Amino acid sequence: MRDADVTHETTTITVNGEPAEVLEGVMLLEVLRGLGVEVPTLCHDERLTPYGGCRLCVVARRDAQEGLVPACATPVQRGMVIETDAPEVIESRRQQLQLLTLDHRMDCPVCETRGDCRLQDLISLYGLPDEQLPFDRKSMPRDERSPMIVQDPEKCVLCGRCVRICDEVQGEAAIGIVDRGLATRVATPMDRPLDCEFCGQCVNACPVGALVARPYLSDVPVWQREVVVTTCSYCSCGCQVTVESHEGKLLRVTSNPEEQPNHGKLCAKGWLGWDLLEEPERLEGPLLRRKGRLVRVEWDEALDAVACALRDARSASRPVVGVGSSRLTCEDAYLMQRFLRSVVGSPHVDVGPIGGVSALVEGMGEINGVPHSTATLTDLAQADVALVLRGDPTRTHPLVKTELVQGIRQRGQKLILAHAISGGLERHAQLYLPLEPGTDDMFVNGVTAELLKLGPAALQSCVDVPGFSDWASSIGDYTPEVVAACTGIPAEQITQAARMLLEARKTVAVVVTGLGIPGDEARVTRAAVRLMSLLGLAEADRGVLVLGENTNVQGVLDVGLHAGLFPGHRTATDQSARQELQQLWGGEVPAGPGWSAKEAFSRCSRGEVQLLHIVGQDPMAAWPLSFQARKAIDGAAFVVVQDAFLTKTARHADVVLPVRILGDRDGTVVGADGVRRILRAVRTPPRLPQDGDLFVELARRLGTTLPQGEELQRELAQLLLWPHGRVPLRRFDVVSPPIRHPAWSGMLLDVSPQLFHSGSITRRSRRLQELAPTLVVRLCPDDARDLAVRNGDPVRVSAGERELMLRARVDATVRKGTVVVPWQGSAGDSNSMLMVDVGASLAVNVRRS
Amino acid sequence: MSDRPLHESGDPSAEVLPGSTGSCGLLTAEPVDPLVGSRIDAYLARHPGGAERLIPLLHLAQATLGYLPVAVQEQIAARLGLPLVQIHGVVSFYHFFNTTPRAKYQLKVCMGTACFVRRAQALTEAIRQVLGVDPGSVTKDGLFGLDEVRCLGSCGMAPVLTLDDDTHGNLTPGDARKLVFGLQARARRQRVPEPSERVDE
Repeated sequence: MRDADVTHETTTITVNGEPAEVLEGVMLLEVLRGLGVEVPTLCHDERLTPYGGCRLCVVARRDAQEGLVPACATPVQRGMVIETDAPEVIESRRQQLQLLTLDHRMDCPVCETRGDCRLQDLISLYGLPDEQLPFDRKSMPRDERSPMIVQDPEKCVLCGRCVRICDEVQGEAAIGIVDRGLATRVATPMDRPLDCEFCGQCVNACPVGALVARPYLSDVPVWQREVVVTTCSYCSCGCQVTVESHEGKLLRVTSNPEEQPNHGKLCAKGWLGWDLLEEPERLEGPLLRRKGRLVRVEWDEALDAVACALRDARSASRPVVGVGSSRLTCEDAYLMQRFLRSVVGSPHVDVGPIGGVSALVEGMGEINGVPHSTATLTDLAQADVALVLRGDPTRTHPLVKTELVQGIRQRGQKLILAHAISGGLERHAQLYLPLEPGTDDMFVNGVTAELLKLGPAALQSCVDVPGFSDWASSIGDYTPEVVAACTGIPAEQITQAARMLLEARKTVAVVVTGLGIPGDEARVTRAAVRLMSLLGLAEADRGVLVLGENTNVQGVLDVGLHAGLFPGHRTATDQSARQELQQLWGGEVPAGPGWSAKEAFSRCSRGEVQLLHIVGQDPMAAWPLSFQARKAIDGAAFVVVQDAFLTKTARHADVVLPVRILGDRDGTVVGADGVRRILRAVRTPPRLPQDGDLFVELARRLGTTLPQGEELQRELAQLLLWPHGRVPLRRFDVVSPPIRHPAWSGMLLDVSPQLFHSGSITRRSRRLQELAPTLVVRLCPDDARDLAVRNGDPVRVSAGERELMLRARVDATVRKGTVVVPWQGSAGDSNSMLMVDVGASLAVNVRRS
Repeated sequence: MSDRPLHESGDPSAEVLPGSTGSCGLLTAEPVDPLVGSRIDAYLARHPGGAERLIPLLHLAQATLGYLPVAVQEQIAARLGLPLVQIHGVVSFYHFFNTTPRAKYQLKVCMGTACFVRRAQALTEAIRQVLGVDPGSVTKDGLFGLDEVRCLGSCGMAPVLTLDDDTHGNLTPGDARKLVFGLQARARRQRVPEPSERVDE
């Protein structure tokens, strides 16, 4: 429903004889459900515009306009008199159900839905009329061509929910309703095999068994399954997912439309990427290096070896370094940093080069004083103008993409999309600005400079902020012409973007992050914060939302898993914070800042580090070349790796400790919006320890205890407050003058996250790998033609002496001049071969082999 | 080789790789007839607007080519910024639009109520026997197409069939047969032998 139709004036209507005070213009169905009146529906979906297709929500009007009306598509009017259970209403629903069943193959006892069927529910509630109607059903074949989604048109009731959600919410329209009369059916364009984002929205929206997920076919009836609602562990959106299992086996993943923040929406990773929990390659027990080989040992032996190495480091006073992951839960990350800081006594604990860390710590932290976003997903949904920077959320944060599509399609939101790496959202954007790689901050500064020229009234709130006048003179260099020359965006479009933002009543700038996206995320973030603060809007109506790469980027920073941060957003140089922690933890806490992951790795390479403890990361395969991970791992005297799989790094470790991952864990994570959400293990009992358990165990072996359970939660509550509040801009910094990068020679290498495949975890999901083969390099049809490359041809992608040979895949969604190489392609290390540094963009040569 | 179309589905010789492109069917297929392309461009230039231009464009393309090849539908989708499946939906909804090449002589037998009660199905049957094609298809030589359609608005002359733009009424099965024989004879007279056949002679 469009918000514009609601007047926000209340009126009185009569429902089943009782008066009710309701908002005028709201759809009757919403009002009735709000009043607790049951109204059956098949085609209705609160995420979509009203459709009025199934006619099951009919209610009787008893006022001047007497008759049966569809509640889902009838706005409330003054003086309405409604009856919801009149005999003719019930009869109408029964007849409607009968008509629906005429063209529905009644396979109920063997149907793949296993009882999860709205039509079946309604028939058992209302029954069917006794007489049989004659009908010749048209036979239509099942479509089983897709590896993930099976379509059975004979069961389809043509409610259109799949088609509408694919179009209105997902913005893809990969399916539609074709043909007419009895032949009407849901189909792909030209009946080609389904080629879509595999978000599963259509399957989850289907009220019957016409669309089912092939990986989730099961014989177990739905009422016998154990159901757990948990938080998805892929990106930082914090989607709530419903996981069904039976006797420890994962059966199906769906999402409930009533859950925040995703309202039942999922993406390919959140929907399908759960098979890696049952992946046979997962480690089942600890490994210890003996005579140069990793051998399976008992837990005690492995933990004793680590404890012994830690004691050796302590007695030799040689440094111990911990590198954690932004996939850890808040609890595990807190225990890790507390273990290193208070038990081992080392300040060197960091989270590594994960997308979003720098944007939050060096971006938000420097300019606002606290490392968290100043906008939420709800703000984004309410904004009338959205500015998306650095990347396309379609690839990295699919929930944000659906929010934007819904905003544009259902609420008339305007989208300014400015980035160098395309992903598909550009066809929905009001203003699409394909920047030169790495020039995002210059573009934002250019818009800011224009804003200063166009709307001086907005300055009022900012002139008193420290550093304003110096900054204002430095930003003067960013004239539209100069910025146009640097970014490749015409000057008039820069002005147009500034005007669109000035006209906004509520706006959010979204900073997309991910390892491999070109450009300095912290600089873009600071530029975006300054831009927003100059808009002259109330603090609640403008904000910057940093989308961290992994589930818990925000949470691990909140709990201090960062070389420069103590728990609770206090800097590690803060002496009073240190003293408070010493009191709380009872013991010496080393003063920070410790070494960042990069510093630590370079010291490892130089042989200065005694023990390197890596948790949930695969630096040798996934980190940029500048970290020289191989050299660092070899240089550290003792290497401990905690991971679920025997990763490339783990193969070089001295001890490998297997842990639970993703949906197998308990704890909490903090989404990009600053909301703390619960992670529940979907399969119990757990077969392996969680990351935090290992630190508790190691601490015990070193003669101290770490808090667990209630005690741990109390400690966290003492240090932190979720959700985060809003903070004003603290200072302006002088910006460096715009630089014009030399022109590209070759093609831009795009190694940033893909929709189906975003890193070392997704590589382990066979389903996602089926959707996104890693052994291909993708390029657009125009470039393919220029290079005389056809689909399937072997091509060489080279940068200097480094070279990859992969098969070509021609893909119209790739931007011209770009080649997309998936993470960890051939031999599992394209990333560490071709990604030079964080935020660096790389020009490569591509030729047919 | 470099100017051959390069895309997922249009090149049967290309190795098919598993997996998805996530492109939602937005691939451009084989080249579009330049005449249709220029007419589409001209129409769009004359009529600024949005999705409401879809049906006029489909009419235009069909008037030019006689049918709507997939490539043309894809181009129209791209030019209007509409999802391809929406074009597919509209084209498959209206009987008027064809996605296969039409015959030289298109016979449409009316199956409206008046024609039906005056035994129009006997006309269809007669033509079917002569030409050996079922309603909705085209003869192998591409000369004749047979369709059954809804009311043609000539109920006073029932049963009725149309041959391209001409309406023939009050027909018996014999009349229908004669009409088809006449057309076959005309086609034979007009037929110019192919160069290869001339060599054989």
